Amino acid sequence: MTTHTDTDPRWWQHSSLTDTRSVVGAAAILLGVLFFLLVPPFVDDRTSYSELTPDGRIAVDEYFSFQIAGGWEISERSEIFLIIAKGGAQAVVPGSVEADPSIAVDAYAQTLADALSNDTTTSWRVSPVQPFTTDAGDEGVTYVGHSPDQATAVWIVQANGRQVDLTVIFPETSFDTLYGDAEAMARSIEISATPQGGEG
Amino acid sequence: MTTEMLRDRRPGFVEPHSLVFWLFVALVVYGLWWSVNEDVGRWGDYPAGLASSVVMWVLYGVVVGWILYQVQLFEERPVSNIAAALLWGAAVAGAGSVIGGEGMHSLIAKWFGTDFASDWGAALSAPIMEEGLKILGVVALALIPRVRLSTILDGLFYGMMIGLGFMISENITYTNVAIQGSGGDVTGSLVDVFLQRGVLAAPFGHAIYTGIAGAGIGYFVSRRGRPVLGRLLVAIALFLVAWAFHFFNNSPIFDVGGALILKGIPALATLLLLAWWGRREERARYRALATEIDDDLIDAPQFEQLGSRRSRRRARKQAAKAGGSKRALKHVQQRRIDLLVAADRYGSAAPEVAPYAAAVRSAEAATSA
Repeated sequence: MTTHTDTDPRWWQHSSLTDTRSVVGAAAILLGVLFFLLVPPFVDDRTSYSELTPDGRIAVDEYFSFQIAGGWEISERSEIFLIIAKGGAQAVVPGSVEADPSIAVDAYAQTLADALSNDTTTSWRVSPVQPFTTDAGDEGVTYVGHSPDQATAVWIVQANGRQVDLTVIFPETSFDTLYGDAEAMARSIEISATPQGGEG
Repeated sequence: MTTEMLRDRRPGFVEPHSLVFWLFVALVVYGLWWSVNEDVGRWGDYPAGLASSVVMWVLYGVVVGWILYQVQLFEERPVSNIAAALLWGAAVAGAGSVIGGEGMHSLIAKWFGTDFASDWGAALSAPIMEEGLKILGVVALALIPRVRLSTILDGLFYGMMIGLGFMISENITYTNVAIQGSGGDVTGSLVDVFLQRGVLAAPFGHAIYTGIAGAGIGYFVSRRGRPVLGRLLVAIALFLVAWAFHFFNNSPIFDVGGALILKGIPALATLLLLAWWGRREERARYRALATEIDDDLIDAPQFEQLGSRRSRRRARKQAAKAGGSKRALKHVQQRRIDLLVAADRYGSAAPEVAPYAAAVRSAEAATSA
């Protein structure tokens, strides 16, 4: 403890700009900040999921294909679904299914969005279901949900009697930077009327 | 002593002779520049909505900041120090945790699988990145001599302010993303995000975590003369406690509806305990200081009256009941606090303290009259 009859000289005896304490302190702070800014992305860039995505379009099944955005990698794949990931976000892509003509795609999406809104395990804020169109001209619907630490975006497309659901889950902090990728992948969805020769 | 030298001895953030000060400023400027660039697209689409989000969270921050401000007992920390702490939290920690956080989250998914990352990614990634960057701000302030971060209460206070700055910037970002994601539903987004992040999900969380970790830095700098290792262990232990509370809050454990708000209670209790410790220590230090000051300026009973905000209010109420003036006593109390702070700053026998002693006498004379 300092005595109170004389004040602590640290608080007013200024050192010069290049004083050892000043330089060492600044270097330590700078290294600390750079560590957090640079090291996680650097290590991430040099770490891969088990399977790298081929460049360009990937066929999830014989009817359904889409264009994988740059930097997304396959983290899991089976005969019936595909999971691709980037920056902590993951897109769950099941194969296409036959569309039920008795259920409109927007009503189907609304059911899913309502289920998310009513999730009792966490608090979700869900946007209205909105229409969108793929680059191939097929009509679909989309909605976005936000919880305190996660976001999810869903695109559903019906064409040629088949239906495709694309669900992307983001850490809330990555939503802003990765939503554009996910939206581009959704717009690239193509559903063919006839089988196209197996998975790609 | 010249006026120039006296001015130099006042605490404050601006310290041109410190390289840490210039680094601090440079990092804040970079963080602000990065944040503005990140948000600029959204501002073009929904300018009114995003302006509303900034206004709402800044007002919220003012209210929370006023509550946190009450933790101070005698010395009121300089506005420049508080502003610097808020800016570090908002700009440096705010931008840095987004820049590095995506990579950290991705790494967790690659190492432990995407399902694990979906459930636990935020719980692991956010405390590492955010608490790490926020505590660096407290360390930086402690390394700038004029800031005068020298006690547990200082560390706790500046830690809370850094956490508050971070919270405001993070909440603005979340609201802006929500407005954009909802296609421009401004009112719905403001209400929803306010309820989620301002009420339910540990509303003071970031201020609490960094307050706890900051108290560790305060402990480290206040125990000069003791072995470095012991001080370091206490600082690291409190940082890990803050980290653990942040992890717990972000984890799926007890993540059901109203339980979200309850998850923050252990962290709040820890912060209050540390604040009690810091205030007790500050009270003891000022009590010792008061004994070095003439009794006609401040005697033992008068010091005890100043010992807490509650005891000061109680004394004013009693004075009013006895026919005195509450305002006049408040004035005297403030002049005595100023005297104690000046004695702490310059040394009780220093000539610079004389004007403060004169101010006490003058206030007492006015009260008697």
